Amino acid sequence: MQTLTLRDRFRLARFTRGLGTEPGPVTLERSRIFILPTTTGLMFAMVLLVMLLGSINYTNNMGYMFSFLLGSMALVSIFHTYRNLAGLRFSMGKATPVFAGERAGFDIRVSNPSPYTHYAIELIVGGEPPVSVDLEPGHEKTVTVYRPTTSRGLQPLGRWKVSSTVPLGLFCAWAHLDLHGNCVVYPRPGPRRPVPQTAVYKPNQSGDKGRGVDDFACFRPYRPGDSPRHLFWKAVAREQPLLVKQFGGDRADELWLDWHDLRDLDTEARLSQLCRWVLDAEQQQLRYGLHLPGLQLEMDRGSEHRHHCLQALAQFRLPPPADD
Amino acid sequence: MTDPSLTVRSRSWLLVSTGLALLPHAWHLPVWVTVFVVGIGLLYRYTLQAPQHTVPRFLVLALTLAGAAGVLWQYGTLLGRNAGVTLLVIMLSLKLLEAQRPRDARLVIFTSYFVVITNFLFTETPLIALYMFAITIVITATLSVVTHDSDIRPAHNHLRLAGTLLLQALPVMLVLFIFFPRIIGPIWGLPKDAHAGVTGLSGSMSPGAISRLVESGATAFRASFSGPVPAPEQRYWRGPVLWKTDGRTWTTGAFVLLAPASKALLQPQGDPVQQEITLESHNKRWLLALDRPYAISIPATRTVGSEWLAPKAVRERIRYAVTSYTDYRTGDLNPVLRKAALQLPENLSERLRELAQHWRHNASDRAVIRKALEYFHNEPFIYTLTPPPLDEDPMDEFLFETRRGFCEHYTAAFVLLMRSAGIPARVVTGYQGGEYNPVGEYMLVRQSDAHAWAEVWLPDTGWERVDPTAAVAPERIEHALDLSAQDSGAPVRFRLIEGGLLSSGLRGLRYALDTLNNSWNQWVLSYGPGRQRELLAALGMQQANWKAMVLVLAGLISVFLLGIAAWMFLRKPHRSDPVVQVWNTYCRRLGQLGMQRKPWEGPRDYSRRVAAYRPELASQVNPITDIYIRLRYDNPENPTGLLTQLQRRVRQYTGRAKRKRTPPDKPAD
Repeated sequence: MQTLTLRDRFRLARFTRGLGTEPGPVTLERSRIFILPTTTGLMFAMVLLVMLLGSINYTNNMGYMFSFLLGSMALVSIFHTYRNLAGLRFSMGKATPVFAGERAGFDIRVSNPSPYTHYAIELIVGGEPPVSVDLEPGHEKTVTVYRPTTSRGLQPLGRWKVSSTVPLGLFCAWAHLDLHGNCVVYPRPGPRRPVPQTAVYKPNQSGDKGRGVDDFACFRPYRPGDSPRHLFWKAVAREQPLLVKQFGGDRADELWLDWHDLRDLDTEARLSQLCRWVLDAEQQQLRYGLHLPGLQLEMDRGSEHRHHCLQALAQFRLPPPADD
Repeated sequence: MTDPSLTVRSRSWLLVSTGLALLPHAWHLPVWVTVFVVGIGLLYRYTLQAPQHTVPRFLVLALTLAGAAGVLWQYGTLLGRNAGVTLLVIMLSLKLLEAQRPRDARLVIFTSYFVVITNFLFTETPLIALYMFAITIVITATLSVVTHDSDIRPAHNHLRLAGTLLLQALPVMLVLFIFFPRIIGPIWGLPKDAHAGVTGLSGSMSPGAISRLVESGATAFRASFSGPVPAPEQRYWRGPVLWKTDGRTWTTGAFVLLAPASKALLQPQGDPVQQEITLESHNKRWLLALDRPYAISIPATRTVGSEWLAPKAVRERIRYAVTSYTDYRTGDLNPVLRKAALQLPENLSERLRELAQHWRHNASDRAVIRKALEYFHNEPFIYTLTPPPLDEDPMDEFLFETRRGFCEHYTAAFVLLMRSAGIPARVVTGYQGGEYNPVGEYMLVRQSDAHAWAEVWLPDTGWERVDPTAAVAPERIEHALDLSAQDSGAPVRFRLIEGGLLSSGLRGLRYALDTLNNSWNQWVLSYGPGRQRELLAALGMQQANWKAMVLVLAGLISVFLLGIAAWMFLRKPHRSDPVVQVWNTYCRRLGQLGMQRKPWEGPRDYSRRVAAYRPELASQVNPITDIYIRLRYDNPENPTGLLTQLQRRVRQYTGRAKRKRTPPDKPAD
């Protein structure tokens, strides 16, 4: 638990912004939770005031009693509102990478080690609609919250709010949290533009076009270990020996995506364009490599390679002038 | 933020809670309002059945106008207590039709709370208070439902939550009720009809006035005695004294007759009767007390008629102590009063005057009184609640023609006869009798005990009470009227002593219920600025000022709120699983032997460690562990049997361990 000095406790910033960025997990306790009446609560207070004035005017003891009952109920409900937040544990989960301009989804893990069920816990990020979650004792849930992105790079979730108006909506308890955890934001894909370098056809020692999964090459006899998905079932139906469809062409075309090919654009546009090319190359099942100032990613393909390339683009920083 | 539409579930809750809040008003609102509101409720129910069932806006508007017009037609105004409450009831039901979003729903709920509180303007019995508490739980649960419209907690969950909240609110409510600084209301003017429907003696009397009052079974006041309860023939409770008559109506007369009078008016004889009276609100200044009241505990003035008047009309239940003397003399009659006590209407009939003169002929005052009473007793007079109507000269017609009347007829005729014979006389209205409640040890006097009697002034003793009704119907003094068995024009029947087990059982129940009502009145409803001062003085705050009271209030509220917080947050959560309980006992026991279970250690590992450390325990530890694992992680066929087995084994084990409570070997870990 974080200890706060007296001066810290009375800082207004703590009230409006929370404690700043910190690593998770964070347990909500007294020093983090604030409570104020909601507009409904203020309206209720007005109703109570009118009731009390009426009771005084009519000298009606039952009226007094009823007004006091409702007032006390509102006071007691503060504890219930507080208890609905207190003790919850929050930590950041994974964040799936997105392209700039998309909404970045962050997973937040909420667990409830307390013996009470916590209802309608609302997680609010920026101007997004709140995400509500109920948690039974001892349970943990993962909630995905979204934050819009504008530019590439590592996007932190930033400050978010967890709040609750349980049980009666008269009071709102909230805590501001800002946990470590970033989402990789790839550059926004640029316009479709032909790749300046044509794909290089490279002969391959394992065959004319190599072996792969792309283009049908020929039939060959079945060997144990071959995937049944590649079996030529029609031949089986004709009671011929088992045949396997051989594909090839995987390693046929190789492509360098080079920063230096895009001299006419500024940095961000170049990165967007490279991003587009990475996506296109991956889609066309090409082997591609990425060439950036101060960084070179070797020929490869597959979603992991694609991620590495896009991440490199996302986090690219132009080295000090010398190279270009 | 956008407000989504309410779910059908929330709207059903709204319908139920609003209906419950409106229900008690059905007793005192005009029938058409009830029909109107029930109709709207049915319309709302219809809209719940399918989403396409909607109520067009113009219809809501039309109904609103119709409701307002109806109130205007009924009361002639939209303001005031009755009209205001009726309007509120109608508008709440109409608002229900419009409740589409949580915000509207909250408005409906807050208005429902308000409708509940307005009900206390009409009735304040403990039963209604209980009902209101129950309704408040439902309304609060509805607030919880509409606030979290989307979650799917079951209904009882919301009800339990609301119940918990309200029960936890009770202590703080009591503190506020007792210590919140009370001021004497009203702060501003009350509507004219604020005290409508209050019954009681009016301060004037005309034929039929008392018999109308007698039909009300409402409580007039309750009296408790510190000494013995006075005998039935002494239970005359003094109210307005009437001097002036126009032949039909009797009134208090000139202002001077209500002016303060000296204490010397009354010379007590015999023992005083101490009584404490809780007077219901009757909207008049008279403070009822046993005849003759001598001293009173609250600020009040004594009139020349020995009435006690409060400074202001009694508009709430008040309590005061009175010292009365049933045996007394009064002093001289000054000329002003003598004149007032001999005043006769201008159109007094000749027959009446002649009758009085005939009795007077050389007879003493007492002889005249005796003759008058004999006249009532011997002539065929009938004591009835429903006498025939009297026209031009009511007293003449009554005395010589109809001869049927209630106490006001006899008293008025008697006083007129006395005055005609030159004896100063006046009419006293009040109550006679009362029912003693042995459970609460007090006397309950109802409006049906209302009575009128005469007082004559005699030179030797002063004012003396004469009850002409007793000459006609002596039973009246001993028994209450039996209102359930009155026939039109027939003589009055009296409630004689009821026999039988059932009726005595019922009577006991009635006494108990009225005692409850009385305690409620004493301790809850009549708690006001005066009682608060007394209480604070008893607590050592003699000169309680506002500042001190607010401090005490704030302090006590904080203490109680902290208590509730402590109860909520420090309470160990209730472990309902008996298997876990037994297992924890067992682990604690082993822990005392120096083998605490590590938090990460499963039962199997734990038992292995224990067996390795204390091999002699293995024969006991292993079966316990096995049963526990089966109960917790298997799905055994006979869990209860296994549980008892586990409990027995653990008990045996811990018991044995206790018996050889030699200091355990020094734990090695």
